[in-house]
Amino acid sequence: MTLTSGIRSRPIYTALRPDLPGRFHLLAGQGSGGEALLRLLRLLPTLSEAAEIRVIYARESVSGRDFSELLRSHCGTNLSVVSTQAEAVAVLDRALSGCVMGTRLYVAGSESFIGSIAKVASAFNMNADEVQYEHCGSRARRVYCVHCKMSNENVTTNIVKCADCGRHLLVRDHYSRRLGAFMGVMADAETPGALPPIVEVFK
Amino acid sequence: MKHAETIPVEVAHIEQVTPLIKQFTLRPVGVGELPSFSGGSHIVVVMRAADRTFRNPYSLMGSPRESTSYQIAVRRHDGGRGGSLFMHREVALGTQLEIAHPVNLFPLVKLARKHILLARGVGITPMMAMVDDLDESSCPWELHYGYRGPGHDGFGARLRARFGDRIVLYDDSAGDVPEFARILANQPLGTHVYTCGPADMIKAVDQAARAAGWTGSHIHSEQFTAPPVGAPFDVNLARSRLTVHVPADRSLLEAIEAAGVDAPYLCRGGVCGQCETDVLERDGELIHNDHWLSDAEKAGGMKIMPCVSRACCTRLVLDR
Repeated sequence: MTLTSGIRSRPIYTALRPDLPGRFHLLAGQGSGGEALLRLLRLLPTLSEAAEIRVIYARESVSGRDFSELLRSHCGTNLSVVSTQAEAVAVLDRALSGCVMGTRLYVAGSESFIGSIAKVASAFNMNADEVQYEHCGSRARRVYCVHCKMSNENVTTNIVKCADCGRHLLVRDHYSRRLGAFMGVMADAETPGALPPIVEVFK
Repeated sequence: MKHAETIPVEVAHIEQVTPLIKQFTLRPVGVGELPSFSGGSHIVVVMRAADRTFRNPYSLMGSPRESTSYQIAVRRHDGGRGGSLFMHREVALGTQLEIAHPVNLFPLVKLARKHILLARGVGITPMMAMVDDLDESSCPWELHYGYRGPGHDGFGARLRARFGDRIVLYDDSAGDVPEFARILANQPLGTHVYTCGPADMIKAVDQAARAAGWTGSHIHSEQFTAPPVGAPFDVNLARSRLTVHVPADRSLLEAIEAAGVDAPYLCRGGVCGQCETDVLERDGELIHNDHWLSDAEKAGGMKIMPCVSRACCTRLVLDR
């Protein structure tokens, strides 16, 4: 049972690359995303002196990879390391409120991290030509239960039991950019208890 | 393509705002209200002269909240095709005209966190309506307006009286020019800039914004090109099986319409793309005057915008 055909709501992620006309470069990464930030940082120093760089990194990771020491040796005082994704989002929110036009935002991490950051960026009316997203590490999904409105983090299986209401949810490819989450719909609504095999599909 | 029906209106008031610009108040003939619109919209005014019909686009400059009348401003172009001269000389109180429904090709961005409006000359007209929309929002905005010189500042004075320091005026004749780089520097994230004025101004704003690191999604402009007069030429309309002569003072679109062919159009100013037409054959050069086709498409010579563009050909065949 899949509900994936023709769904195009999911953002397209690409490898981060320097956007040279930008005057100020804000990098936000999480877990494995640190590797993508390091790759980008190696390309950014060729920018003009007028451009400035700041890095925000969350150590929280599904895969357990931590790039905070490597980042620290590369960017020193321009780096803020926090432990959770939520803290990184809060630090970015404060940073953006002081930013001016000409800023570029680069984001690397899990899809739920990207989704949380995208919400903040769009609240500042940053558009697709100002923000880049690179999906790194785990393909685990944030799944929004359309029945009880609860978001379930780090889902790796085709079916997940909602942590709040207990329904078994089929994880769709339908992605809400507003919520930064995939839609989960009750999998056995027609015949209660009739579920397909539960397998890991988002590693 | 069939066009929506036009709306019959009559001229209820005329005001000479500057030596070159007249403002017309248009009311629907009989009772009834006019369609609602948003700031930045334009209408096409149909003017039936004795020997020809003009259809010229004009921005709506009254309040979008006012549904009993529309306001347009017409700058006189003495060397033009004659539409603006018709409005200035032939149209009087009570004159009946037809207008097309409003279309907005220059809307304010609803999610913006700040708006900067830049205008010069008669380019202020769409912004006269935009500021009414902005006045009702909590979003910060400012407007910079350059005018020709003393006696030409009528619209600026009105705006200043209503909005005070939000309006910055520049007197061209005193060498007072807006410094776009300074205006656009250090603006908060989510700021949008809107420019309406001559081509060199639109280009200068675009360059200043990009030099400050702005991206294209925050830069907006509108420049209606009046169809320029040019050398006459003939055009063959393949589907209609007609050969049409395009005189010096008529646009290609006007000539096609005068031959009885119902061709698509919307803005009649080279902006919207609605009249884009395929060129099937040609033995000379196309003279592109639009802001729609890409540079590559213009160089390719396979497409033309009949509302403003012309040709220097002895044989030109269009898919129309």
